[in-house]
Amino acid sequence: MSGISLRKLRKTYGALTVVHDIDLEIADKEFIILVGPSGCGKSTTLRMIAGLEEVSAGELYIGDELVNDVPSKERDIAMVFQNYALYPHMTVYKNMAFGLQLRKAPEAEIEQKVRETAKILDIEHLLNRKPKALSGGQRQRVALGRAMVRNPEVFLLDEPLSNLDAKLRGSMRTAITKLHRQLDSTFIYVTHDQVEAMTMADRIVVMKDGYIQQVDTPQMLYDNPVNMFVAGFIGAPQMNMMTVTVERDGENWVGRFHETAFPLIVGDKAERLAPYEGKEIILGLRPENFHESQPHDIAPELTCPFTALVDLAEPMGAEIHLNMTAHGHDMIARVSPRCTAKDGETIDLVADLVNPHLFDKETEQSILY
Amino acid sequence: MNWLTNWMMREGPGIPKNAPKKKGLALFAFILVREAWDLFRLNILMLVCSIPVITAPAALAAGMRITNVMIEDENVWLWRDFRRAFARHFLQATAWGLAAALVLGLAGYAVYIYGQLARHALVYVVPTAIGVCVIAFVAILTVCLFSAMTRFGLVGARLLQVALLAALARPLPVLAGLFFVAALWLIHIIFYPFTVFTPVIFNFSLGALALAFSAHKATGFAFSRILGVDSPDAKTMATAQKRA
Repeated sequence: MSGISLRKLRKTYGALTVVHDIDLEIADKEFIILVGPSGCGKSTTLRMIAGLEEVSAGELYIGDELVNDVPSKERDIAMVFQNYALYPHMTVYKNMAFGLQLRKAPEAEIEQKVRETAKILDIEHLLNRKPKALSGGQRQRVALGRAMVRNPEVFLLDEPLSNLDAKLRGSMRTAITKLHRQLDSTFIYVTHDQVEAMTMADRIVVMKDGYIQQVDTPQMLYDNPVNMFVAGFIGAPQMNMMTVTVERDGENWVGRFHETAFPLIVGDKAERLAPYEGKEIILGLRPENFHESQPHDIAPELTCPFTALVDLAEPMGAEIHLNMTAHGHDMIARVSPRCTAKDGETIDLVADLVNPHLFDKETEQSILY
Repeated sequence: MNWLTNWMMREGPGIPKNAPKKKGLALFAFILVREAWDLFRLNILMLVCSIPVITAPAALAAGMRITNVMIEDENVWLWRDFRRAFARHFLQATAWGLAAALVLGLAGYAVYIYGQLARHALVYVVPTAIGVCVIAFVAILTVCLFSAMTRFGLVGARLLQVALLAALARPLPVLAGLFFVAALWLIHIIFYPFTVFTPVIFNFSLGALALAFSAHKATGFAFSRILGVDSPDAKTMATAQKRA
């Protein structure tokens, strides 16, 4: 087994194309997450890999084998669904054993695999219970177990945690990540929750409207989003976007936001700003780029002080999210819990401009990527 | 049909791992509810397999084996496990069953005769009482014997040894199980024809469950004492599939 390869993969329903010629290489034993808003084609892509949807065009390789026309059951994959898809009339044991029975596995092997898997997932005490008695988290473990007993090369997980409450989702995230390390298999995971994507994936595939926007590691996606969509989608609270005018100040570039001018630090990529001189671009700043006072580790010339009106302060425990307005722009800042700003008050903040995200206003693509 | 789907798919309360285990009648009721559908199917199997009469002991053994697995909270493959248990225990169950029937028949006849004589001479109350005790003990012994046979796969003298110790150690629960079974059939007879379908629905399997449940602790105790193995439950025995 040597990974999965999607080459110009397309899915159409009549005249409607939902996945547009996507290319993606998934390495063996990789944990890759397809993320994007509803309707972006991530589940359809997963279902094509599973063999539950026909490929309209392009090629799908599992290992070195072209599997476009290979039936689902012969692809050595296992899928976990959002709604668990457990058989309600069967016990947990029978649910887990069912796939192996269909493959006519020997009884002793079925017995051994079911019990081993149940032990790994800590569901041994549930084996003789029906799904009706189980909680959401327990059902999801059973669904995972049903996939695991087959010992497939590839696990496909379609929003498996969406039906769980926040607390359970957190613990299941950890459980699935551990499971991936333990099983040493390829995991392809679909979610619309960027927290899941950031915390679990080796690499994230961000999709929108049937196109892949960017494929990279979680940190790279966060630090270097390729366009405004990725910049806005990855990170919570999401990135602040404001329109600024690019101006030249001798050898340096500055951005002007209303009356305020501030440096645009772009390092050796300064020439990329040349076409934008005198034009408007989008400046993206993460909420954590706003500080209540001048940061000690950043030179003052790389920051920009400004005043904003606090619309709503949201205490999160470890931090406070300040929803603010500055020059008519809505912004959000992530500040320390010691911040005393109240709703309706003005606050003086310092924007750290060391790593600005600059986007073309027309194409919405990153200028610096 | 959405209501049905929703009802079937509705999330349950969850099952805590360290929840205290149910005991006694609460456990019996829990098993009854949990395995209701399988008990109904088991009843049909036992009923059909008992039709030739000579096969009734083997059907009872197979039924007790299935219900023992249910009591141990293990997974049951009903048809497969029943078929295997029926075949495996057929000879032994038939032999012990006929022997028990013979002793019970003779003791019953003796009780009847001495009971008639006791109406005229009080001295015959003693052999009548002895006869009743023999019937009770042989019935208890037989239940323990079938339980030990189907749980541990014992044969011959060792099986009898375990069953005897079990019958002596905890006779009352087994006696209660026997009364429960008797009550099931009495209800069927008394309320006939309203209860015409009870043997088809649950009499056989519920009776087997009651007997297996009542003898479970006794045979477990006797087995561990005689064989020197700790509590022979699901963890120490091979599972339902492997035991077959």
